[in-house]
Amino acid sequence: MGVYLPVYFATVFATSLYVQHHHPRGTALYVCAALPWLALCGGIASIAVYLYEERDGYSRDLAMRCLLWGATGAMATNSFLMYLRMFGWRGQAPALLEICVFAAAMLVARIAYSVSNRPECGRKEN
Amino acid sequence: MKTAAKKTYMRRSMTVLAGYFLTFSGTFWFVQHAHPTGLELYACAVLPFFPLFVVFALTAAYLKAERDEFSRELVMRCLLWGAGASLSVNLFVGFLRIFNWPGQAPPFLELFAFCGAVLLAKLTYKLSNPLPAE
Amino acid sequence: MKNRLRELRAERGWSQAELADRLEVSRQSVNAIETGKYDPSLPLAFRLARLFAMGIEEIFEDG
Repeated sequence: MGVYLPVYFATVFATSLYVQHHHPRGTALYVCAALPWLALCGGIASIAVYLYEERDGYSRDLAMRCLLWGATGAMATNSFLMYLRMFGWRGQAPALLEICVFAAAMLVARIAYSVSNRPECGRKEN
Repeated sequence: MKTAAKKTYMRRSMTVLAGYFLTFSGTFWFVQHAHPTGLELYACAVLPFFPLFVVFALTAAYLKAERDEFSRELVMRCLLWGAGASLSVNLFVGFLRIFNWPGQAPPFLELFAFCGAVLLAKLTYKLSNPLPAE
Repeated sequence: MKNRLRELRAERGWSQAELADRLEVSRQSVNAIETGKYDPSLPLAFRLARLFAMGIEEIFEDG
């Protein structure tokens, strides 16, 4: 993840700069969208590799659960927006809203699991 | 062989999905005729969303109730592959919009990506873990 | 994790499906454990031990 995030930010910055100056269309536009997308896909792939390599079953299970909660939030947002659009809504949701909801839902799930599994205060360990 | 938790989940989610198709059809018909705007439009978008939300909740309940950990982990993995594909598609469309793409993605695109990826993952896991003949 | 599950199952003349029924898991799970692709959780390992009337260490081999 430490590798992919800087690559992602660099790609988004460079691509945005290019799009602002050259206003590409058609295939060129798709290629511009694909560049930062590939960087993020690398991030998704790194999560998959982590889940594969993690030997601690509990940590892996927790990570999978948080990811699923994130995915639920993202899909719920996406479904709602899709129905709005289908029923003639002319507005525009902020771009990448679903990924923000994904990250937020994951964070909330992580905090909830941490709180529910916190060690008891004031209890001495043997 | 389906476990008891899986059978319960399949039965409940099929019922909810039937309800979803009815809700969606009804809402779609209403929107075509009444052309709602503002709050009414938001309410119409929420109606078909509710059964889907119930399916998410049923899936979570199934994962909690499933006693067969291998099956549960397999289901979680397939769902994660689906989520990865859906997010991936969503991200690509998001970047296109950021870069002023004038087009519109087909509706349900992310849902198709999700279902396709889940199916592919399930098939792959089945093929890589074949059951010997008895 | 290596295990003697297949051998113990064969001794009792049980198919994978029958063993899965007794353990209340899917046949897939039993196959995955037998082929060493999946390690059972503690509760399942204890259920296996009780079913075969032997200790967990007699069924599973660490390493």
